[in-house]
Amino acid sequence: MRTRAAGIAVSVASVVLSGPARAGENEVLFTDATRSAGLDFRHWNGMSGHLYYPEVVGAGAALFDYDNDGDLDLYLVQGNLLGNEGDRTSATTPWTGDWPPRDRLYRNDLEARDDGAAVRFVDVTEESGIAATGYGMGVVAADLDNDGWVDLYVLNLGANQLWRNEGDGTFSDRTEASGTGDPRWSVAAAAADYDGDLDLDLFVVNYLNFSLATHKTCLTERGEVDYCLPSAYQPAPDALLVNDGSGRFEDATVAAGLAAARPGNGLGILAADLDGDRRLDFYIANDLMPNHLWLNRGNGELVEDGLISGAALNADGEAEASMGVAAGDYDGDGDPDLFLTHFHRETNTLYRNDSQPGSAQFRDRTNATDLGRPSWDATAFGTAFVDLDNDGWLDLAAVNGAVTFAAGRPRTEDDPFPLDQPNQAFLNVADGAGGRRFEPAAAGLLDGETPFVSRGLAAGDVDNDGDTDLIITNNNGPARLLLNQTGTEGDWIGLAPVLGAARGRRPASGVTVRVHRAGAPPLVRLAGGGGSYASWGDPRVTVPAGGPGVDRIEVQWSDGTTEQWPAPTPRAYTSLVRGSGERRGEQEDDAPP
Amino acid sequence: MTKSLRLHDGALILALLAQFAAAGLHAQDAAAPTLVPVPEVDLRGVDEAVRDQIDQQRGLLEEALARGAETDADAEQLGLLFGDAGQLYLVYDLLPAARACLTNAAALQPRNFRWRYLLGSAAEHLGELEEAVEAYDLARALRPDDPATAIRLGRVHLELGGYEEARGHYQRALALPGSAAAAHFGLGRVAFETEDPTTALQHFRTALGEQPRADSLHYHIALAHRALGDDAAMRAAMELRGEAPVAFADPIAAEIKESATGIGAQLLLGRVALAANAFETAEERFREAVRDYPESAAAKRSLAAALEGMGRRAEAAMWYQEALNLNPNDVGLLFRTGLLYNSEGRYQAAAERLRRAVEIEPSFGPGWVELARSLGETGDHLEAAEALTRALELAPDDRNLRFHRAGNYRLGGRRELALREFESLLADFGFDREIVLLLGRIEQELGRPASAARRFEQLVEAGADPPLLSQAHFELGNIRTRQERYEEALPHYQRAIAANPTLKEAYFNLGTALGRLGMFTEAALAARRALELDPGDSRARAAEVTALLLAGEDARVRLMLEQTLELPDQGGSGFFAVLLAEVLAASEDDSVRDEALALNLARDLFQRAQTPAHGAVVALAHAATGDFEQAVVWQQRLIDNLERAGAAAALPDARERLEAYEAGRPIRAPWRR
Repeated sequence: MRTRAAGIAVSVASVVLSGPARAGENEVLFTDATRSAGLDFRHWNGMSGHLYYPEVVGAGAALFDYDNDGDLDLYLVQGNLLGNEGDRTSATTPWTGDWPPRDRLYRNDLEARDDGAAVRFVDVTEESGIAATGYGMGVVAADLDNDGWVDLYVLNLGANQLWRNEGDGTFSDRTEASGTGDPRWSVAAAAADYDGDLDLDLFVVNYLNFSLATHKTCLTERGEVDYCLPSAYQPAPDALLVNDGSGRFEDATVAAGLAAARPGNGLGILAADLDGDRRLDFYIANDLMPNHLWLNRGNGELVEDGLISGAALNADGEAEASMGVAAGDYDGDGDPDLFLTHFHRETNTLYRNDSQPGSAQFRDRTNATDLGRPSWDATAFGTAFVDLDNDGWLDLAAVNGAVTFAAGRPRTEDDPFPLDQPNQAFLNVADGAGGRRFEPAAAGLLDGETPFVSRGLAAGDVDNDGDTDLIITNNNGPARLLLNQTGTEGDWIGLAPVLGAARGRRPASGVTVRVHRAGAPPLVRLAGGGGSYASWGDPRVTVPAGGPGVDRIEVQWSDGTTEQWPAPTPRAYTSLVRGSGERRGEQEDDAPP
Repeated sequence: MTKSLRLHDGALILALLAQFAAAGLHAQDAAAPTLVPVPEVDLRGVDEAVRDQIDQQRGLLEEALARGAETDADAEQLGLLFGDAGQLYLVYDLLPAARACLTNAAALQPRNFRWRYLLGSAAEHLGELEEAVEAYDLARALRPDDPATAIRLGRVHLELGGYEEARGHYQRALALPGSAAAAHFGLGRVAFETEDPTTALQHFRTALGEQPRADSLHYHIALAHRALGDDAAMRAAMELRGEAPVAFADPIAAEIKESATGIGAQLLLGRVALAANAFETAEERFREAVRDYPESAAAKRSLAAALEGMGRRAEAAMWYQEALNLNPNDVGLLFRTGLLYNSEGRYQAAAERLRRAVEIEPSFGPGWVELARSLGETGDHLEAAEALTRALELAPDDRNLRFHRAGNYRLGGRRELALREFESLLADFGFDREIVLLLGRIEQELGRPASAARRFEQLVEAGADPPLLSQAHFELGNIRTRQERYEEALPHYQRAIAANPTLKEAYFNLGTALGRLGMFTEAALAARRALELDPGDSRARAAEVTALLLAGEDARVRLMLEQTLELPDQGGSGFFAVLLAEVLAASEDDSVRDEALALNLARDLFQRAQTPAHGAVVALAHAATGDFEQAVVWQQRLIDNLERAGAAAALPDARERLEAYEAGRPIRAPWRR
């Protein structure tokens, strides 16, 4: 039974003070472990009263295992000062740290305890050598040079940066050498194997052609000075960078056909096999423009199929202000559905995947699944399909924060940035007619101590206890670690699809994992591939193993091949190394027809 | 109720509303609507012009709240101000305040469609879809055939996942003007959501046929084709996709949108001037708005209202009509125009507008009432009664509506129905002297004098107020007069006059009764009193001279008649001229008679109009001059004409006169016959 009583907030508060505690079976409960974990990052947007548009857009976070110790470390993207010739005193909110502000890397020193593991984040930025001092937006964590160590690709307002993980706790700036320093305003990217050669390419999503020189003063219909809407600027084209296997990239934007589509105001991206043809496709969330669905033809060509597939516009036929995107099989039919987060006075939108292999088809099922109304007033950004209550059905998390005062509250001297909005979670329940619908979870569940102006959401099992925890980043506010304390009915299975690397292994990206169960449909999960907003989550997957017994595990790799393994040991993460499983032909695997 | 309160900022409205909650809206109204607090709106960063606009509107509202609402008119005015404020907040996207104001407007004016509709819109924008449904449902109850309400209800239900409800509303909208395309689009959406792409495709195509410019429909057509597996058709349709949405007739939304473009500010300035009785300034503002926004119905309506307030009704009517040309289905406009026409006596034109208003909004009570007035004034009393019946369906306990319906039944000849209605009013609301008086009159009209007399006597016994008492005695006098019980009639007329010395008809009828009793001098005096009360009353003047003639006062009569004929615009001059000719020709008083003058006057009259009366008086004058040959000729011609006309009643006297003329006998004092 789910508990969504108001008392949860009290429970959360008490747990925050006294340390983590286990909740009852399937009771959805998160504890704000930010302080106890030593997470002291605070985003600074450098706002100075000019209302520069980028101030409200960043920033994200990445959960990744940078030191290959089996737990998730954390990278947090920082803002900076815009204009004012570096005069930090001109900022509305003073910067109190060392100058200049920079992104931070936190190492997770997970500590085993009798009552569960305790997360300890240690700021290792200085020793890592990472000097990301640009105006940061998003981040991708992936092994881009196939050396077995996860690198970082940071998206900025200005040149992006590639930080190569040297494997010794340090990173080096390989931006120039890698050819990845896109100078435009990038917010998100996907590291995914676009060409099926098993290394990770980069699909970079660019937002708008903004610069301080083109900055505009925008007014609301009431004549109030406010942050602009994207329509004030021209969209910036996206880019596809193809990896030669060594971490050097070539721009394949034109060759792949991206130039054929009208550029969008891109903010979110994910990579997944969306049309069931075993090739990785890319879905781009565009702000106030039709979203793009780039279907992978397998010959190097990407074809924009958003409108044709029904995934570009909502059921009204209207383009929405899409920010974040998540993919997950919410209805248990074996294919990944899409969830888009949107501006206030728009609903978030759920597109059900009705694709046939090679023919993408999506249908807006927002109203039918009750997801529309609860998001009407929210401006939602980061999002993820997460099994919050460990019942085997993918729930949804969405973190919110306004981008205009008109959608938030009027600003005052005491409250110069009143854009905070409560975050939301939606629990996947049966609709009584054989389908699924979503119920809002308890208010405050994902807010920690108080709502902030949330942007990024990185989901992952930070404490390695088999459920999914959340990192929430807040614009001009503190990052939050929310540990999932929801009880499980039984065991859980952790799966880490990995590929061989020059030294050790590297996490796969954009793979589909199917957990086959006796007498029940398989649980389908996506590993890697990005999604959410400006953030990168856990490349591993976890599923409950209680109830129907797990028969076997099947992984569809980014090159279209499929392997299977017998049921692994529960209550631990098992690496599924490509090439170590039983290879399956196209006719025999259990991919959706 | 406290009359004023000094507080700062937007807290004033809240505090004043609290007073309302404590005091009730009307002093005697226990069922006063509950008003909700209006959230304070922070206008610090808002553009000065917008802030001024909102501040002024808020000021008007606060003043009205401070004044209190002790009468229905006050509450009506307060409702309008809340509605206007709600609209303004809606224009500037201040939705919580808009919702509160519109909620209050709807509570104060529960039959105002506009407030319900806009409240639905505010709730819809706030994502409060159940509240939107409730508001739209109430709007729909007021105007069942409003296409925009049907479409919006369909849309909200669709968003709520209520597909059957959505389908119902869209189906209803199919038959409404201006909404077929949107209805088909909605039905297509419902079908598509419920996994029926075949039906969806049909509806999308029909919608496109209805509204070819709505090229966004091609997108939905493409999706339906795709769901049906027709890839080629899907791609072909997608190629045609555009951005133009499916439109539907939604004049209120258009007006709100118009307000957001700046005309709202101009109109508000005009309204503020109007509220301060600065009519010329208001007119100037509204004329500017009309000039700047020639397609704005609101601007033209506002100008018309200002002109109407200044008493320039003809101009006002013209601008109302201009606004109506732009927005022919605006119920408020139709009503205002109808009111204006009614006040100008242009009842037929008023009835046309008002009938249209209630066709659009059958639950618009004031429309039915005003339509009844128009119809009553044009003599269509039974239609007026029917209109009042429709108004009564909306307000079954309204005594005045029942009263007026009964009155129209009476005037429309349905007297038995009128009688029953008035009696039921007595039963439901207790003894009412005015109704008893009317019941007596209806009994009289039904030829039941005894019953009528009992009603009037009942009124006399009840000790009515002087005007009604006077009427009761007057009616009793009339009953006795009709029964030729003149002596009994006299005291009633005298009491009627005592209770109401200005009741001219009582003097007149008293004179008639006195005359019947042969009391000609007294009868002449009574007629004189009636004439004094209304010097232009030619009937009273005729009664006086007739009574004086019968009293033998020929010389005085001749003088009076000569003076009367010198009066300008004397409506009864024909009668008085004939009488003078007769007096000159046939008076028994030799000093009065002047035969030659009589003949000249008679000939002159006949030359002007060849009527039997004029022919008769020519014959009389000829006889008076001794020219019996001509008298016979004229009299015979008169008899021939009377026979041809079938005027049998006049023939005996005419023949008697002919015999006299044939015998060479002049007629003397024929008025004594």
